Amino acid sequence: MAVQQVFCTIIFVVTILSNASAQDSTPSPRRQPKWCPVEVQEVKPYRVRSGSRTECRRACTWNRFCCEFNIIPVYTTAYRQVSRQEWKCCDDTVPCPDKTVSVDTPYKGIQLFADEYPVPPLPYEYDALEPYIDERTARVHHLGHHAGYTKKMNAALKAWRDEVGPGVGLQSNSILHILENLDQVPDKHRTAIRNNGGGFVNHAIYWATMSPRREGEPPRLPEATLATEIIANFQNFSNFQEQFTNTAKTLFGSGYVWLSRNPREQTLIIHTTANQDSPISDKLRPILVIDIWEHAYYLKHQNKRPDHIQDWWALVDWGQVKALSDWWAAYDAGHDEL
Amino acid sequence: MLACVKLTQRVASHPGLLAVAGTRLKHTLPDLAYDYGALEPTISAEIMQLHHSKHHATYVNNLNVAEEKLAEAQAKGDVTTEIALGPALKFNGGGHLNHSIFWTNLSPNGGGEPQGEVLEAINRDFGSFENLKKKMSAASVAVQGSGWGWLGYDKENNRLSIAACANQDPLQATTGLIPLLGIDVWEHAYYLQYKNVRPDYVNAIWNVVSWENINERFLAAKK
Repeated sequence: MAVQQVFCTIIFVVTILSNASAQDSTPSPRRQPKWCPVEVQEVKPYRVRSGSRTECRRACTWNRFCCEFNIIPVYTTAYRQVSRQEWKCCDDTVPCPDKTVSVDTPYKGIQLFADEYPVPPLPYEYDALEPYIDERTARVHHLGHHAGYTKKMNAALKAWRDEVGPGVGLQSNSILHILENLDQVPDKHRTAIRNNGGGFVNHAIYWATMSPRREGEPPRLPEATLATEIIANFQNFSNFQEQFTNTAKTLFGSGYVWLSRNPREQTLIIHTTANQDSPISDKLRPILVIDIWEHAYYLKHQNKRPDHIQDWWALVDWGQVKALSDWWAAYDAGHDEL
Repeated sequence: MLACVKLTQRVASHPGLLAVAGTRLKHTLPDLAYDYGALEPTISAEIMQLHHSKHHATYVNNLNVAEEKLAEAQAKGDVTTEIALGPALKFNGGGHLNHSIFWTNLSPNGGGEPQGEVLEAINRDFGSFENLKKKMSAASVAVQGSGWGWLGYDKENNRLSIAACANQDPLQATTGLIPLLGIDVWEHAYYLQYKNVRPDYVNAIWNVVSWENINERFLAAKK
C-alpha cells in the first residue's frame, strides 16, 4: 500500500512538472487548461416607456378645448436581469493561468478549449440594431441559426473526441486552433466541423463588429492606426468601402465578405468565403465581416441585398474592429489571457 | 429622316424580325400556370411573388446581359472575356433553367401519390414512394448554404437518381442527370414563411408537387 502510494505520488509529481514546463507556450497539440463557461446574472437598469402625456398643439377656435394634440411618450427606469458569460478554470489536473476570462465580446472564448461551447450572447438587445437590422431577424439569426451551428459544432466535436478517446491531439484543442488546422481534421468529421465550427465563429465576429446606432450619430469612421492601414492598402476609405460593397453585391449564393489581415505580409485584404468557410482556415486574421446569407436580411429586405449592405455599414463599429485586430495580435503573440 | 429612323427602330425591336435578321432572341420570364396565392398554405403568395417576379426575373435579365457580352466578345475574338463570363452564364443560366423547371413541378392540384410510369420507376429504384420522399428530403435539407435537391433520370443506366447541386448549378450540365423534380432550398424559397426551419418547408412541398408534370418529364427523358 505505502509503496503504491509513493509510486503514485512520484508519477503525479512528474506529470505536473512536465505539464508546468509546457504550460506557457502557444497552443499546440497537447493537453491545454480547461475552461468552462459560467453564466453570471446581473440586474441592470433600462429605459422603458411607461405611458404618454398629451400636449396641446392647437386650441379650437369655437370653444375653449384643445383640438389637436401632440402625444409625448413618458419614460421610466425599470430593471431587468441580464446574463453575461465568464469563463472559469474547471479542470484540476491542468491548472489555468490565474484569471477569470470575461466574455464581453462574442468571439472571446473561441481560443479556449471547452467540452461544450455556449452560444455567445449578443453584446446588445435584439431590438437595439433597429432600424438597420430588425428585431425579428436578430432573434432568428442568433437563436435559430447561430445557436444551431453552435449545437451541431459541439456534437461534432464530441463525436470526434469520443472516437479518439482521452489524450492529446488536434481534437483536444480550441475550436480556433482546430479551424486553423482544418486539413488535419479526420475526413469523417471535417465537413461537420468546417460548416458548424465556421458558422459558430463567423457569426461571433459578425455580431461583435456591429453596435447599435444612436439617432443623429455622425458617420462612423475607423480611428487613426486602422485608418492609416486602410489607406495604405486601398488608397482611401471611400475606395475601400466601394470595393467591399461591390464584392458583397456580386457574391453568388451564400457566404461572407471579409476584411482580413494577412499576418505574413501585414496587408489588409477584402475577400470572400462561401457558405460557412472561415478565413481562419486560410491562415488569415478576419477583423470585419458582413453576412450575405439570405437569412441575414430576407425578412426585412427580401431580395434587395444592396439595401442590407447599406444598412449594415451604418452599424459597423470601428472601435470593435480595432479591438478584434488587437485581439488577433495578442493571440498570435501567444498570450493566454485574451 | 427621323420617321425613317423611328420606323427602323420599331421594326428592329420586333422579336420575330430580329430572329429573321439572325440576331439572338432574348430570354423571357415564363408565366406561372397559376396565381401567386394558389400554392397556399404550403408556399405563401408573398414568397411566390418575390421568387418569380424578382429572383427569377433577375436571373433572366442577367442572363441576357451576360449573353450579349458573350456575343460581343465572340465577335471580337476576345477569348479572355468569353472565359471570364463563364461563371455569370452558369449562375444566371442555371438560375433561369432551374426555376423554369421548378414552376412547372408545382401545382395547386399537386400532392398525393406519384402516378403513371414514373411510379413504377420509383418503386423499382427506391422501393417505395415513402423511401424516395425520405431520401430526397434528407438530401435537400442537407444542402450547405444555397442549392437545389433533385430527382433526376440517369439515361445511360435507365434509373432514377437523387442529387444535390450547389447554388444554381444546373443538374444536367453538372451531373448528366435529366431533371424531373427540383426542390429549391435557397433561403429565399422559404424564409419568409418557414424562417430557419428548412425541414418543415421540404416536408410540406410534397403537398404541391405535380406528379403529372414529373411523369411527363420522365416520359420525355426516356425517349
